[in-house]
Amino acid sequence: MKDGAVVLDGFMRPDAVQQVISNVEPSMKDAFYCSNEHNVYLINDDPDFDNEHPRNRKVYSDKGIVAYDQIPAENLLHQVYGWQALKDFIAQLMGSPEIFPYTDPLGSVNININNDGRQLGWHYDNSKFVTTLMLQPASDGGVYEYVPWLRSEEDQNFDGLDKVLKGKSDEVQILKQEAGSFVLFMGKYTAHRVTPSHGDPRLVAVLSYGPEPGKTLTKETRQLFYGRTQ
Amino acid sequence: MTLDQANDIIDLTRFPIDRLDTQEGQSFLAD
Repeated sequence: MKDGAVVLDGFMRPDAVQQVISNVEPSMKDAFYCSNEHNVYLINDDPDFDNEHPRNRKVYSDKGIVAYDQIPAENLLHQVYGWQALKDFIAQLMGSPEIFPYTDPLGSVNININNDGRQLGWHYDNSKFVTTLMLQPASDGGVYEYVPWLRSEEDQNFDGLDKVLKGKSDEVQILKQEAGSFVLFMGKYTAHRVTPSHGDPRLVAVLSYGPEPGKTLTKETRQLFYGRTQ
Repeated sequence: MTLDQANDIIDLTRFPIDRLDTQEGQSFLAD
């Protein structure tokens, strides 16, 4: 975990990955696509800094999402998401006594689609960690780049972030993933992005867990990423 | 989900997450 990530290649068996994709494929035509400019912190700008300061500088993100309620009930992802052994495993990785699936109607499990040049700009996550299952890498691009522990609770390291945003950092690493890879990523202090995807779409299942039961997304987040609140 | 069903989805021979309270599972986690 020293790099802020755990990657387990071959975690989901190839047959199971194909079942997940085949089952959800009809829903992909109903995916919601969004695009927006945002700062790295995914929160409102800080008026104490100018617009070009790394605190407020804008990056661009666009992606499609298949929401939780669009993933058919029989999809294997639902079984994996609720499996107690997986929850215990993630809790152990996090050093937590227990973790709990979200109870969000749209975001508990979702599938991110990056295709036709879609990308995720540099950002920090608001949650402490995220768990994902790579279903299909892009055939071209879609590279997950990250800078381990770029900031801390005590130090925002704006100089380091400025270099990253200008493409001048030598700290950028690549998180290689293949179909079936399980990833636990500590994105709150580790800046990361996904470069534009071309060719076959990049498909990633996001499994959302929290430290206490009943966690949901805000209505604003649902509106932004799912185009609806329920 | 039964263990057999889980093993059809997740390669538990390589990733024994169901046995984390055993030495096998703990050594996997330590790796």
